[in-house]
Amino acid sequence: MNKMAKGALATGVGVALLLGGGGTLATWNASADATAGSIVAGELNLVSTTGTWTNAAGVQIDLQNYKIVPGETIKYSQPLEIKLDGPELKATLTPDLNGSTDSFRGMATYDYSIKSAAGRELKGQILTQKDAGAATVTATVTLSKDAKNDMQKVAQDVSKIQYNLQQVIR
Amino acid sequence: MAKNTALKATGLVSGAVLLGLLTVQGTYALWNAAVQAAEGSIQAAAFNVEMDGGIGTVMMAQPDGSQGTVALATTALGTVDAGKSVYAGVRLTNHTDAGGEFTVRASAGQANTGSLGGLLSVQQRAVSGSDLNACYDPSLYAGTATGHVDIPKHGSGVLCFEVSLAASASAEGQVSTISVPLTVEQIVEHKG
Repeated sequence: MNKMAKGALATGVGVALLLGGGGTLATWNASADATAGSIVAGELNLVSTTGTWTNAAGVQIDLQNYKIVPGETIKYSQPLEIKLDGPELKATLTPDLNGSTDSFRGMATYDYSIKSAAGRELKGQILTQKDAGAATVTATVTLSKDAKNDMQKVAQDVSKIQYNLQQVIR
Repeated sequence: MAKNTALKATGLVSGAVLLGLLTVQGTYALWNAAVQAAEGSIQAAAFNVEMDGGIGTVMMAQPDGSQGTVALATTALGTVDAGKSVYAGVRLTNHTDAGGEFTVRASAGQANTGSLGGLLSVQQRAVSGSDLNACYDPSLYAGTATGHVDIPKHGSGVLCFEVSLAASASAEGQVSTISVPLTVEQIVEHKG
């Protein structure tokens, strides 16, 4: 076989392979967009602004320079912004003492309420998206009338206390 | 044999799933957010009542927690003759650092007339203000007894004493130390 013949044979084999390799050549197919859109995660967040302390007379006080006495109640009011975005999102909002020690050794009582802008009590409730928005925490601290002289000059650190908005699944 | 192998494989997979679930339990990721409630500290006030008997001041509660003792001006008490009276007083000032209202009530207890015993009698009166001279007016003791005085924050009150020696007493030259316990207590009037 001369060189011309060998070249023609190799070219023929190559063309045959090209034709044989067209396994997907000219079979019917179709495609379409799913149009499923985007999956967007919701949002859970809590924002606070500076609160104010008032004494029993309703006068605003500076806690750093104010000393309480037995039988006295002081009140703390703090605005919160609750963000609960998601129809299935549920959460609780609770204070967290964060390991604060009780310097008044049981001689002080603490209470609080959390009211939504609509006036709903949120304390102890499961919050949903409809509870999102402005809320106000009102906390009271009362030094007992039974506090003895050893309670003088005692200081109770409240800076560790937090509000905790915690998602729950129920 | 083939059945045994299948059972073993199933058991192994189940164990792995169980182990996997238990392992991730502690990091179950729920959303949460926390904000600080307040800053600073709630501080209790001090009970600072100053006693002034006319010759110096003494705090009612000493730094070590003990009770203070104040001497009354001897010039005011002086010497008493049989059938006569002498007068003295102690000014009490409420120096509390309480932020709100803090009114205290001061009163005197039963006097201990010392070595002269029943020959001495002590009357006590309480007046508002800070003037010890109010105690030196005999007419104060003629009226109805006012046993206590209320002292507002940063205010003063005076407890006055009239000491009389019985007309029949024969105690010339004798000295008797009279002690009177004073009590100051907070009036709780805060509204909850």
